[in-house]
Amino acid sequence: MIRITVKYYGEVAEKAQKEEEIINIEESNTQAILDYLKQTYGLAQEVKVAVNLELVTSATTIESTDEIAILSQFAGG
Amino acid sequence: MKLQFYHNSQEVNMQKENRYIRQQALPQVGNKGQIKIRAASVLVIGCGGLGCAVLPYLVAAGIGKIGIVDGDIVSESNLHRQTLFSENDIGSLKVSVAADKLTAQNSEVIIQQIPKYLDVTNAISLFENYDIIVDATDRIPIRYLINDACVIADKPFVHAALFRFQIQVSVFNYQNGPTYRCLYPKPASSSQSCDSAGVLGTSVALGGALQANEVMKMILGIGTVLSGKVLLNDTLNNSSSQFTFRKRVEKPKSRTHFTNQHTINKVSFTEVESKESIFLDVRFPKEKPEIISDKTIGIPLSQLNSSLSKIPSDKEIYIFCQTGKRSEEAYKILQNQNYNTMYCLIENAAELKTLLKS
Repeated sequence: MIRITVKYYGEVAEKAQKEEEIINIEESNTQAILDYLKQTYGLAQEVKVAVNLELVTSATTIESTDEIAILSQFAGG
Repeated sequence: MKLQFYHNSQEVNMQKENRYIRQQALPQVGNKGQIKIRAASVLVIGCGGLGCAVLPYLVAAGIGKIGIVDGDIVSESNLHRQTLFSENDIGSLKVSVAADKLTAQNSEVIIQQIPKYLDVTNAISLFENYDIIVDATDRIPIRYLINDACVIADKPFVHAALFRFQIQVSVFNYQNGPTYRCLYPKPASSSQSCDSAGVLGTSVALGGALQANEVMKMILGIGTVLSGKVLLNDTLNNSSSQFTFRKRVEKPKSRTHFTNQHTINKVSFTEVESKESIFLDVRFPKEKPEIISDKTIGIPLSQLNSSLSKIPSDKEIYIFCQTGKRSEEAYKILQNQNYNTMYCLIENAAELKTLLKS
């Protein structure tokens, strides 16, 4: 179990109805965050996870002190 | 008379010398930089909120040739953010109005109007005539088209996109750097444009100004270009972050692959596997044969734009009609409305009826 702070942007923040939250996840990796987002907010796996401002493409080990952010594609212009 | 002419031409020369003096005064620009700016060419895709913010600054800076691609006309709902347009311009072609205003702003710049929407047939040939491409569009599917055409034509492109008060800016395919597909490999199943999410003119103007700034840096070869980084700016609380991402190594794509990928997706009914799918019948209700199933939604093509709320954006949509023509039109409407996972069925209603029976 790991307790981490996650920041949300764009439509992710809209679906979560918050810009930041502290979550508890069983596994210390980014896939566990994606699973949480899918289960809790119905977010698709296509959202991007950033660990300490680096967007990761595969399951990455995280620590409770890491800065986690969730991004999604923006469409407007 | 001769003296008068000499005097006037001197004045013109003086004006030209003065015109760019403030940007030439920068040690990073100077005379050499101004020559680079004059020699550069930029193609702006989209003349909406971002385009109207990018274009005047590129024109003012004295970029040699600027192309504008947009098939749309000015409408009243554009005016709060698309500041190149006035009330009198409603109903006129955006590229035409913009070209007139921009030529009046700086007659030294060659403005090329392309009064069409970018598509699979014109993207690569257009891109080949410019140094830098600016993505000032407002739909996700078109961004993949721009990306893939830029990769084939070997051009960098400056991207910006908004969600309400937040802006993402990045530069893709710059000096063999990452592309849009490295950042977002697959299109989001749904995402809101400014039409549905709303936007302030000031937010989109900031996005366009950031894009123009990246263009200038690339032309001048100064500063750090946003390649391999996406800038996320929240204009509501003035915070910004830069997220880095890596290049995904992919096999080079051919022009044939590009054409196939960006032409309307067609599949056979027998290939439909997903349980999360719906069938969209765009015929009139009385057309035969009737296709009834719990997964079928009937919306005549003419009513599609006003009935989008009936079509779930999180499911795969398989469109059909009587001959296939209306399904292609419906596909384009949904594509423009940011539906990302839809297909035209190869089979039409009569064949589907037979397949459903079997």
